[in-house]
Amino acid sequence: MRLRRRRIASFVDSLIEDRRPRRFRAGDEEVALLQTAVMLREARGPQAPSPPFVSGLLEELAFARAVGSDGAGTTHTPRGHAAGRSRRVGARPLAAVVAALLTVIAATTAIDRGALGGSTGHASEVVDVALTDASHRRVGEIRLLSGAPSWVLMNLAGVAYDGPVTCQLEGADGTVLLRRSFYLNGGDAAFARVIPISPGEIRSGRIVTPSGTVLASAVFEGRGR
Amino acid sequence: MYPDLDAVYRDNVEGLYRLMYARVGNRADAEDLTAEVFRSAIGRLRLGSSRGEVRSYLLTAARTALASHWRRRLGRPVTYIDPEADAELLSEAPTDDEVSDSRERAMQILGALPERFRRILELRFLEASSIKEAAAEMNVTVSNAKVLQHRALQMASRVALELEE
Repeated sequence: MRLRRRRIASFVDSLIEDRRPRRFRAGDEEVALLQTAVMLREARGPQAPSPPFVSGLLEELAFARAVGSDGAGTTHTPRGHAAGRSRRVGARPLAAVVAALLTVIAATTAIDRGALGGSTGHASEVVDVALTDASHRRVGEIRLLSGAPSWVLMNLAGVAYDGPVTCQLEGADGTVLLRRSFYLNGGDAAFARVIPISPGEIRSGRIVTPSGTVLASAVFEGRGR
Repeated sequence: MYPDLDAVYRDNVEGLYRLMYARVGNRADAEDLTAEVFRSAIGRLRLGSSRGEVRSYLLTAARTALASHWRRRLGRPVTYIDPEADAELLSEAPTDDEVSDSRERAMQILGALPERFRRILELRFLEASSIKEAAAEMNVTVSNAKVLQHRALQMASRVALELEE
């Protein structure tokens, strides 16, 4: 009884503080209380999405379409949709992800093409590092691009997780400078986002599940110190 | 009809986010679910479809995403999306009627509760007071405020059920 009350109280606290509630296995009586809590929360009025979320998701969708447009990319097949066939974007090399990104952003941003391609000058503005799991197995790569705006690009493949995750970029003192959510589909993902901070401030990156498990991490050696 | 997929996104992202927020009650989950719906749906949409057909498809994807969300989070569904009944909520901006409907329902439930139960839920849900602030306002200990909140929610849940019937 006390445990049940604590779980309900924690759920209510989360709604009131506008944060993600914890997971637990809810019983029938609890579900009725949780429904009431969500309904009472709704009475505070409708919530508009934040402009960074709206523009960030638009960029991501444009990027995903570009990656999938050459026939080697992805058609995201969510679980629960029987139709369609999933092709794996995460298994693509980072260079292919970068090439796809170029088609999306070249016309609209001032990012340096040399930095993106890594072939002509500005090499110091590009930083690539491997993403490794807890067993030090390479599961992907991160590339940071300095420019106006700056970008983080990433691909992941073969991670033992399916669902929403967060990419955390951290400074030299471990402070989280930036969080961006994306979705691992069958353990794979390709991800590109504008970052409103200088890549020079970033010391490490982690891919974290909603429950806090670190799926992969990367250290940008010699940076942010 | 929509001219391109960006237009589909721009026309529906705000409505879909508002709907998800109303069903989960927090920003982080509403953002994840909105993104999940667009990621799953946008590659499958046919641009020749009418606006209504596109929205119906998005709402069906939203229903699936929300059901999976609750299964993962709590092991069973808590709130639902009905693609037909919720179609109006994908309009660009909430109408005054929609806003007042959800508030009026909450007020009906709160109005049926004894005063102290009503007050603790008002403080918490409508005024976003912390449990400490609510306890101070009601002149009780934090532990008592937690018990009061739990009992008030139990009674509110019964009232909500009665109102539905």
